[in-house]
Amino acid sequence: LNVGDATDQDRFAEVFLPHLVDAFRLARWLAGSRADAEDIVQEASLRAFKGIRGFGGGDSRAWALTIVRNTSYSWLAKNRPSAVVLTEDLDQTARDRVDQSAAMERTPEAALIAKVEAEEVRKAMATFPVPFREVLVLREIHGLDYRAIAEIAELPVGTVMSRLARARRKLLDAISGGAP
Amino acid sequence: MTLSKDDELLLNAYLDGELDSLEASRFEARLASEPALAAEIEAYRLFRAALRSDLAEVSDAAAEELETFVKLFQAETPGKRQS
Repeated sequence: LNVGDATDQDRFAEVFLPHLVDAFRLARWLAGSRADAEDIVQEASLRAFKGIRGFGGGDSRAWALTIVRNTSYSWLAKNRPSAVVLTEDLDQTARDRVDQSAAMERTPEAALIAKVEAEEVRKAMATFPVPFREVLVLREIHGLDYRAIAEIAELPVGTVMSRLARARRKLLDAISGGAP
Repeated sequence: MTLSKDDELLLNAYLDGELDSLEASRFEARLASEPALAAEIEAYRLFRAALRSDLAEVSDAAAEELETFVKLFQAETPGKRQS
């Protein structure tokens, strides 16, 4: 009986596999497509398996998401260097697309928000650099608090706060001003 | 209305339940006395509810398709345990 291997396999099954759907959700939003997300999750899973002994206990979900997040960044940099923006400057990249609406006098938002549809959210999110998408998704989909997001994205809590605030504002402006 | 950067952060932190009880009650006192701020937070609440359901919709659709992938993956994964 190879006890060492059995232990690694057991740990992987216990630590990483339960978070596969969460992993896919994060990758899906960071990558933008299902196919790319699948590639990322496969690669992340392999990394997790190889590094399973590095998991020192604690929050296995955060550990899994950290690996998926880091894998997403390296995968995107390698495979989608031109299509995916990894910049940390939200204004730089989203300016052209959202300025038109942001510059408009803000109409009563509540009325417009009622018209928000998934497609609009998707489109607006797609214009955001990945560093802004990730804080939004980790907060809204995974329901993590600022501290957990900070640990996964390796950011100061203050940066998580400001990115989240700016991403929401941009999204709100883009969507509420986006109706023709 | 345009919020100051500090108020914007405060509003977000309040929505996310990240303020301590003292900060939260201070912010609530402001909401009670500043209609513009109250309107802003209402817009954010509605927006966030819509965002959450939309993000979830995309994720759930993906997750359904994912089921096959997960099964396939678990069958091939090194973590598979043969009986």
